[in-house]
Amino acid sequence: MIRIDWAAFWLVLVASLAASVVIVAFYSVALRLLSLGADARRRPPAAVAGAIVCLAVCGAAVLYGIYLVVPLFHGR
Amino acid sequence: MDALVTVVLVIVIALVFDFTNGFHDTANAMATSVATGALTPRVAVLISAVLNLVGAFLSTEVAKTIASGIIEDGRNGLGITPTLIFAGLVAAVLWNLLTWYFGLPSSSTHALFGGLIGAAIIGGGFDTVNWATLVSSVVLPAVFSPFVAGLIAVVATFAAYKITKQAMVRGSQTGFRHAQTVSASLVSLAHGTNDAQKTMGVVTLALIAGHVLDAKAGVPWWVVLMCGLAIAIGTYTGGWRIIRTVGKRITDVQPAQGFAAETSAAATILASSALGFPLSTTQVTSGSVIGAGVGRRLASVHWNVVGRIATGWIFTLPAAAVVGALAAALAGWNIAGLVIVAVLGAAGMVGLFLLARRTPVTRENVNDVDEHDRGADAADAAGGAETAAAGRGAA
Repeated sequence: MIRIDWAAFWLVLVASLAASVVIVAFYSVALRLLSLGADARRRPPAAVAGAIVCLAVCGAAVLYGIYLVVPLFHGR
Repeated sequence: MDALVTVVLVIVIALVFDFTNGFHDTANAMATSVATGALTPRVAVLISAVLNLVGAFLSTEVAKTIASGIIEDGRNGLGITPTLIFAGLVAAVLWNLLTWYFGLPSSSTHALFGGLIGAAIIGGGFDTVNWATLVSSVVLPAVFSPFVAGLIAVVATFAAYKITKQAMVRGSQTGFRHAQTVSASLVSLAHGTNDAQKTMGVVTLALIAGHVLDAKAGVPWWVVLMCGLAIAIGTYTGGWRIIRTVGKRITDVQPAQGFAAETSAAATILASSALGFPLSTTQVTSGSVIGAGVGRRLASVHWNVVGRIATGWIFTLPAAAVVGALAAALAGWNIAGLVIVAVLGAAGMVGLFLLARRTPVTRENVNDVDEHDRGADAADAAGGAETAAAGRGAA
């Protein structure tokens, strides 16, 4: 009998959608914040701080991705 | 003696398959980075090759389960012999080279399963194939993958462009290129942990079926090493024809789109392997590139190219199965038949390489898409030009 695990399917869809949009949006916001100010030498400090936070979120997502790829890390 | 010859042949053809798998799938991770200039072609294939090699050593989980689910065990133990595996692999390699010649990103996994299934049917009848498993773990995921990844890429691309004012804010092009490199590398690594293992699994299966290895044995280290190297060398060689299709011909990928597409692909592949719903790497990446095109501007996707790719996907499994069945029938006859299959297979592979050399696509010209390459598009454009010329003539 052919059985489709719809629960797993929706879970994969929602999880990948959420992850992609969060990463892309945060990275884009970081770029937008870094573009503020007259030129690259005179950025508002608040914008730079915000950009760093956004980039940190993206960096964490990449590390989590590597964690998922390498089975050694999660004992599978 | 015959058995040993067959096992050696299987290992050779399996490594050839692994090589074609690598160079077929370079496009999955790196096509968008090459297209946007985020990485030079040489650096892109080098990064991808190294990550595939690393990925091959990370796990043998997939290798252990390969082929065991889809080909049922026969009454006398294993339902598949080294000769049948050989026939299936010949079919898979030929199909991979044919789709490469046409520049189509098709699933190496489908070619492999198709070839093995065709061979298994000849060996033991339709009952040897676990059809329910085939549909639920190979066919349906292939149907869902491009839509899931495409939808996600549409949303991600739209968000990226909206937030960065159509990527016009200062530094956004460079910024997206850097991010694209990271996300593409993650796709490469994920690919290495999956695809190299499929070949390892097949070689191990052949060794067990040929009574060289005990049925309970794990994957020998030299199999891991050889398969890892074969897929890495294949990746480094680069299937430039397919890279051109994915990076330039589906849609002319821009840095923000490339970043959104690779992030969607990486997230979808990782989520699907972590949460247990199998999706196919090739279908996911192609789908996400199409989605990235749609997310920016609907008209910029060349739907005729998408149609050709989809047609290739539909035919991959059945076509490889038919070739696998023919090869199995011939090879199963006697040792002479086996030699004939080997010779015909080799002739076919060399023939496709020679044919491809007539219109070579290399790392130097991978991003050049001229009138000739666009095929149907160029024909449309030419048709339009003629109509326009005719219109002027009439006026």
